[in-house]
Amino acid sequence: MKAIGFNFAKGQLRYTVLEGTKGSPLFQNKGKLDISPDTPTTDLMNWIHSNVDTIIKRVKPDAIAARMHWKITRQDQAKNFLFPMGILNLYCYNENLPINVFGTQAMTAKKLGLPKGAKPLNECDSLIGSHPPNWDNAQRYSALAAWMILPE
Amino acid sequence: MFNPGDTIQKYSIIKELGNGRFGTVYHVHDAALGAEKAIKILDVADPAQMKEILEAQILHKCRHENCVHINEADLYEIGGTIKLVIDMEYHPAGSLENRLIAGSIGPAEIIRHITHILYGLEHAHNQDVLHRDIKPANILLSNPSTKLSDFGLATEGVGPGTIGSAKGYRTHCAPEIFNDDITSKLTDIYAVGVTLFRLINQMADWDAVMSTLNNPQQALSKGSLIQEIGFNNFVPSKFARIVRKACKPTPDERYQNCEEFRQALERLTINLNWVRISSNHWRAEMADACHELRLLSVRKHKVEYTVNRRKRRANCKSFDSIEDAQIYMDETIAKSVFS
Ligand SMILES: Nc1ncnc2c1ncn2[C@@H]1O[C@H](COP(=O)(O)OP(=O)(O)O)[C@@H](O)[C@H]1O
Ligand SMILES: [Mg+2]
Repeated sequence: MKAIGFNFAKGQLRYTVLEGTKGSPLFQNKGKLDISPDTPTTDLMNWIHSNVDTIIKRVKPDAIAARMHWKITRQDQAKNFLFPMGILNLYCYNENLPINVFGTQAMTAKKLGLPKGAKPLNECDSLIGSHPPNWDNAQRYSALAAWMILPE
Repeated sequence: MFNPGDTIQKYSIIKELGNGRFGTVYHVHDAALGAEKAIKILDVADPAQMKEILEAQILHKCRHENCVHINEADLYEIGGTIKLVIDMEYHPAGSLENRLIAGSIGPAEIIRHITHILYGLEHAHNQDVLHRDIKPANILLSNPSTKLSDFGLATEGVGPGTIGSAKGYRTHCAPEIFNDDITSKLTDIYAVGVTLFRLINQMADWDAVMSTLNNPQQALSKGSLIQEIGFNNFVPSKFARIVRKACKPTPDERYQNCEEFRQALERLTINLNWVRISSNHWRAEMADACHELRLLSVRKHKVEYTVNRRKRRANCKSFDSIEDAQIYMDETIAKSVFS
């Protein structure tokens, strides 16, 4: 099964593609796309839609996952973190693709099949590998989201 | 050739929109749907082979928000010969070529058109289709999306470096097309680069620009076209850098795919969206203020900078020669387009 995980931030989109199983995830592909952080909301929504579409049509994943930010306190955070979830969900509805969304706290060691007490972010590289450039925590979160939906 | 009022089955001709090497495009009324359409009528050279139908099939395969939408394709016998009719959505705003002739285009609009075309082209490339004829006349304007059109020279099933015999618009051809007869994804990227070059330089009369070159064919085969024509002083360096990269003579040094190219444009942040009103008057209408630059030649040559019609003294300057004033104005623009 091919899983893709997304993570959105201000003016950027990260994705990581994994295959394999929860116990042995296999890295396939990743990407970081940027847009001017000043982009008006309507244009930003179109940008997210166009890029999600382009990526998904190219990668042809079986399932989609995304990391969700729950702590939204400012309007610009809503636009950068929350609205993309709406776009992504509608996209998956239209394309008939399954989607799962996970808060950071939900991506636990247990759910990822890691030993008790392990920190997923720290274990990420040992299982998935390190894939520079831009292999930072924002990128790892997109990998963790994809990892969450791999089969047991 | 058809005239307004002529009918071809359910289509009645409203007017001719353009004609090229292979066919003619008309704005028509479709009596069956009660809708306006654009149809391209092509002569079928050999009905046994029907090579012309490939354009319709490729358009269908490349369905995307940024590729012109095909409704259907059909064969009609007209005056004893077989014609192929490609039925498309009609875009009243016409082509980017017409838009460029009608008036200057500001940086925000340029970025929008070119990124849209790159999304459309990326989609075509992902389907292993090369367009091979990208130029302003083959780009259609519509709101909100700009569309890549005219897949008449497109080809399917490309490997990394397909040899192509068909040549697109000569001045948009990368050097390897002339030297090695190769068309590839990277020659499409080059052609988008030349298109962007024409837009940022506000070059409406491209033939006139080409005619200033001593040896245009040599410039094309050496890949030195952009360098020989050069950039106008008002072109921001960030724009120029992107064009140079897209049009590098060596394919390996260009953007290697549409995504890289459009990302370079998408990362730009516009500070002042300067639109040229005339050669001595530019205006940037931003959300909070309207900036204007004027070159006034009364006794001296004065460049006047206003924000909401009030002079901004720090940017106003007088010159003895009109050339110096022009350079100052153009450079003020070039420096303030992007943050
Ligand atoms: N769908 C359309 N809507 C509006 N104008 C169109 C449409 N298709 C083509 N045109 C106009 O007709 C011209 C020629 O069409 P094109 O498909 O490029 O044919 P050709 O093979 O003759 O170059 C274009 O430059 C454009 O101005
Ligand atoms: Mg054409």
